[in-house]
Amino acid sequence: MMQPLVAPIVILAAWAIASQLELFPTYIVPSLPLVLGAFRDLVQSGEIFHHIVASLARVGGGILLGIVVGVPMGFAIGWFRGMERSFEPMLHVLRQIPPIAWIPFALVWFKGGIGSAMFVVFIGAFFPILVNTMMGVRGASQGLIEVGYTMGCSQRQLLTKIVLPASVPFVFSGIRISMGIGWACVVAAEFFGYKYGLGALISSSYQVLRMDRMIVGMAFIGLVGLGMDKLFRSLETRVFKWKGQ
Amino acid sequence: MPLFSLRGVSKEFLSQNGMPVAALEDVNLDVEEGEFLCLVGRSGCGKTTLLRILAGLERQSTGQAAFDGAMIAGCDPRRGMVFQDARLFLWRNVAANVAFGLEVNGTPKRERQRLSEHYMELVGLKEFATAYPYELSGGMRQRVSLARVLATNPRVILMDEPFAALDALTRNHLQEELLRLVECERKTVVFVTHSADEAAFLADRIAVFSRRPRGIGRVLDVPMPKPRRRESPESSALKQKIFDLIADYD
Repeated sequence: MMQPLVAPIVILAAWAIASQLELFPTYIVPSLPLVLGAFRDLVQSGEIFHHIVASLARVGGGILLGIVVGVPMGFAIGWFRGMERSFEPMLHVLRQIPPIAWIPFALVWFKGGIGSAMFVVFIGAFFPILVNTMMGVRGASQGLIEVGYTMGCSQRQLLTKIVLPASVPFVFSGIRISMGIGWACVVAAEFFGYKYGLGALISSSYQVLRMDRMIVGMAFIGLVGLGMDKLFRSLETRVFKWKGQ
Repeated sequence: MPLFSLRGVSKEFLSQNGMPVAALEDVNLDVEEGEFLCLVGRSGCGKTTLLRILAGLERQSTGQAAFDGAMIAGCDPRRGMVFQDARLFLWRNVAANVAFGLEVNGTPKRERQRLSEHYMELVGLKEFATAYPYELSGGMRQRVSLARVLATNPRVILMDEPFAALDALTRNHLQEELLRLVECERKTVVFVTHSADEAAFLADRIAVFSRRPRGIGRVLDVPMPKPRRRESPESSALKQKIFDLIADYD
């Protein structure tokens, strides 16, 4: 029950002692009281919530776009042999390019507005959603498709009654993976020219060597990311109650 | 006129290095309406390939395969199939699994519910209507699979070692139930098994497969009345005969 708290308490204690002894200058490791002060300021002024909401909106938008484009494409490529042969090799090259490498183009094409960060998230979210959907469609075991054939399914019925429902869990896990990647992408994208967003908070704090504010930003990235993952997992267990535990 | 009629049916597959491999050679067979035919033999002797040709899941390389007077071209819901692994739709509960074929053929909802309930009752799973496959034992899953096929009212049920993965007690029990169901629904059954016991208990006729050539070596008539006792002198003699035939073919 208390076990998850042991490691953080040990680390915080060590940090508190190091701060007390002034082992490091504050721009190397800011002292614990300093960070707690920055935390209080950011929360009390409400500033941190602006940053969180801005980041969440960009991630949400980018992932939504990734779903809208990635899921239908994944179905098409997974189901039609011709599509598979024309698109898949190229996709496996493109997905090796880290989303962060797209940041310069994102800035130029979308002029640094919400669109730029969303685009980077989209790139990060698109590939896991696409690849998982493809795998889901193909993995909709040949065995079940044979059942469909022997029961007289039309092609359309095979797709809607077997392949589609069988691949939904794969689509969901693709979305969950893309949420983690998207969250990392948005922080990176916000380093460049944004006023709000957790990434912007970190980069603007860095520029004035406010490492205490940086650490608060980093802590919130971890906590909000964890929260999103937990929320989505609980949604998954509710949707897929037929899987059992 | 026989229900199935096979003449000179062979099947070749291409092996990894592109060489043709014979899976089935020159099979001639008639299956009469209402009979229970078992295909018996070692694994890899072509029984399942033959069953899949009857289903329309595979196409023979040469020869002719006819069902009800017409050449077999693809699957047909009049020929239902039960697979070794029950192959249930995991996202559908028992009732919806049983109703699957009825949705496919456009049966109205009311009728679908009635039939689904009827067949769940017939296989003894009425209380599990709302359970999902992951909650069921292997034997229960195979019952659902059987009910799913029966619900579409096929003329033939093709069964590919449906009880092979079950424990002995469950297997015996399901064999008895199968006979009862087939009796009251008046179905023709073609049943693949590698078990001489199973064939001796179920079959009206037994096609024993040989390895060389790959195909049906000999067809035995089983005149014993049903229900049969598992350990009677006649059935022991029959099993011995099956074993001898299979051994001869090695």
